Amino acid sequence: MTCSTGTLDTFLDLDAVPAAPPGYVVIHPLHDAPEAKRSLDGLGPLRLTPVCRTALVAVRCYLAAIMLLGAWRVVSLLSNLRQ
Amino acid sequence: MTAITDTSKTAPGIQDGPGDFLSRTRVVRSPWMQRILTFLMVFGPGLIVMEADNDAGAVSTYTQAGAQFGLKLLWLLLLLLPVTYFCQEMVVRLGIATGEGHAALIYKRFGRWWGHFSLFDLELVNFFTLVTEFAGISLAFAALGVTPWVSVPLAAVGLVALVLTGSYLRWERITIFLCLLDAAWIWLGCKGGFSAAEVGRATLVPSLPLGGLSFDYVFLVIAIVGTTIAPWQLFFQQSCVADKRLRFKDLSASRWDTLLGAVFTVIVAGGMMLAGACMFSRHLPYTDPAQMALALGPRLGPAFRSALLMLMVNASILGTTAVSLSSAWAWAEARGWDRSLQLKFRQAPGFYLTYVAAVFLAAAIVLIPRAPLQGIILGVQVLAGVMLPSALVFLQILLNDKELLGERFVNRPWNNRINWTIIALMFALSAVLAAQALLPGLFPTAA
Repeated sequence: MTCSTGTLDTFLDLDAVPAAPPGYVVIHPLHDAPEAKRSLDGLGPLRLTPVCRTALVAVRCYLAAIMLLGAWRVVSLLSNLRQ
Repeated sequence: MTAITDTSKTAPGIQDGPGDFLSRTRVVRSPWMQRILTFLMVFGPGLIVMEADNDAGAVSTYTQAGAQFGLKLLWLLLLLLPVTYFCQEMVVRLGIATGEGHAALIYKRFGRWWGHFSLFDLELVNFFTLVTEFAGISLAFAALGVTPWVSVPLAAVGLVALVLTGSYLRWERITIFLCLLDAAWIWLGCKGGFSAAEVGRATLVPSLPLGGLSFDYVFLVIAIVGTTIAPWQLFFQQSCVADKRLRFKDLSASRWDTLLGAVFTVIVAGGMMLAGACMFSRHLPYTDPAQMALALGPRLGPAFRSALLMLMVNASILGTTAVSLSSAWAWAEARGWDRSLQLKFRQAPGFYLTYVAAVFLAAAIVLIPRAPLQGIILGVQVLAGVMLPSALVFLQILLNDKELLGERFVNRPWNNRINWTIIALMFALSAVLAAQALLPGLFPTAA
């Protein structure tokens, strides 16, 4: 009996304490616990879709063309200087 | 009414976290209030990266567009919105998913060669851009009667002090405040006396100038669209997102931050164009923004003149802090150094020294008498034209890397369709800008 009375008392006590309001927690990212991000370890080589592969080839061609333009500019500037 | 409660008093098990009124951990009773507060806490990188792109060069381009063609190029600003938003949204996803900066990801996924190429190109173009920012500061203060020997070193010291506080939040809040100051461009634009209907029509309906399509007009269009996305922006926002430790659940708020930043930036750019149009409507010749302030001062009042010059300084300061930070973050990522605005100088000396060196070296070059500023501006155009297409292609490839990002963050097919279109457009415009800079005789009538 004592045991059940104690349980009842505890229950009543708990009931008397105002419950914390239900709520949504808002934590600033800088103060939050760090979360596990997508890991970069153990990733295989980059898999390229056909569109991505074509784009990479286009980048290489573009860079080569710009370098040629730059070289042309330097040569023409040098020839102007000589004249 | 929604109540906001300090967690320490009401929520058992949740401690009152560190931080001030705006950043403290809280419990709110409504999911709406939770979303609003989360947005306010996440808000920052998107606005800063967008508004910092309205830097000294942008002030010059937009005011020139207004001065030469009045309101005829306002419609173009609407095009900038999706272009900037979709490019920057990709780096937000990358930053949140991996917690890594852009330079670090390029090194890890594309290897050392492309990593070195991207890094050195970025550092070079950023440095040249910094020189143009300090040239803007020097020009504006000179028009206010302050010698460059005072204004430039003071600005450099202020810019270094801004990041050396060891608090990301302090830097972010001061920078957001500077971004919001740019709203004053709207007031300057209103001083031109254009009616709302006139501005609305020019914004929504593309139209040609009186003389028809000219090379000047076409090249200004290309210059505006081509410089909408600068390589430093991609590196800056991803590193900023990583430094702020944004979480997976912050993705939506961060997208809103980026979108609002893009909208605000376009409105401010419109204000700059309208301010420039004050010259057009008064048939005044345009040389640069400082000359424009001096020319319009006697007509629109000393407040207009001083505000324009101070906003020019503000634009340069914003550009300088963002560009220097993108250099410092990228360099530190490539070297594997500690890098965070949350760290003190002694905890991340390499990161801070890179920032300090970039700022002071650029300031020193501007102080050299007869420094080749025109050549430096040309260098910015060429290097940005070289780098931007490759940076955008790398970005798109990373966003298609399912192994890296997983299903949640990887590009959807509609993302790919929009982004490949934007990349093709930027490819073409960058190529024309670089070709124009390298071969000026190619387009003989261009400005």
